[in-house]
Amino acid sequence: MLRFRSFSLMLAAVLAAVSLGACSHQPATLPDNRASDAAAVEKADADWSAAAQSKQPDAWLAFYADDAVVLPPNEAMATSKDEIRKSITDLLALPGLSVSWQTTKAEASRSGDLAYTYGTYELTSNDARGNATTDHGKYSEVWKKQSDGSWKCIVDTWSSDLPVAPAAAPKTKHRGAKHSRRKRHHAN
Amino acid sequence: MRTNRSVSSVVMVASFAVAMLAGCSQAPGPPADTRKADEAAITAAGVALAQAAEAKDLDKCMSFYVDDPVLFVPGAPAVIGKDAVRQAFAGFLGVQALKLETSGLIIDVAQSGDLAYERGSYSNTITDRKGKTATETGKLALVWKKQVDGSWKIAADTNASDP
Repeated sequence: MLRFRSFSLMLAAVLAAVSLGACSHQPATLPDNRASDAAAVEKADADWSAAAQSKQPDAWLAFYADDAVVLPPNEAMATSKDEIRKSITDLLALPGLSVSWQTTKAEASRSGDLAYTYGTYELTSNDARGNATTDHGKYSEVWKKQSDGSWKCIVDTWSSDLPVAPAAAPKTKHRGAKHSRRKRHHAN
Repeated sequence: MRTNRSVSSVVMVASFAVAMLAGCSQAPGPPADTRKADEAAITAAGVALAQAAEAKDLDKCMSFYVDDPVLFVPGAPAVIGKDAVRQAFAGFLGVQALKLETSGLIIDVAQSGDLAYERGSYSNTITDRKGKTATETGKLALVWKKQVDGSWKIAADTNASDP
């Protein structure tokens, strides 16, 4: 019976080891990194606005993920890299351009894979007569954490705060992406 | 009484192992992946919101927004907070008739099932008080957040008009 007893002890040890092993394979509850993820996205957004000061399309485009889409006002949705490059290149080529933005809010998912920001932008460019005109508006961005841990924008959209210019006032007609506007969606 | 002791040690050992395994199964595992169900719930909420708007049911429309939403529409400053969004909606619904359609909607849910976005195109056909009908088309990007009760509500409703 001694053999049997020692076998039972051994079995106990094995069972305990197996059950502990099984336990340790269960991932612990995810660490809550929402605050640091939101801060990282807000910093990326600020870095983006700073990079835009170079007016180089590549500097701007580096903030988009490979599968990003851009939803500019008064332009078709840009869903490919080429379409996005064209839209941003046109925007950055506006004469006398000055553009910057500031995050109002950033929030991340519990799993740290998805986040969004929104904020306000200001854009100055020259009209057809060479006079500087200033536009301001709001934007929203959706961000996705990449495999290297960096955050990239996957959805980018914005619209002007300024009322739609009457059709019969061509001198106030704007060109380009970030500051042009025509129609309203809600609230009219 | 050796036999008895052996048996009791086996019983003890077995109960211990069972207790360990039971404790294990109760340990917090990885959160379940609810993304498919979340996507379906968001789709349904979007459809219900459009139906509420077409029915001009302001309260019902507002029930699809979080307590601190933002609404971005072209040609007007950001609408921030539930009261302001409600006011904007009241204006939007204050027409003779509305027909709201969307297309190409894509929904992406965070692994944790607490945050999601939806983007696509919209087409709003609006008949004004004089009976004149016009269609506005544009692009939308929505941020959805899961609430404590499991429902999904819109935190950010952002729109850009088409050319």
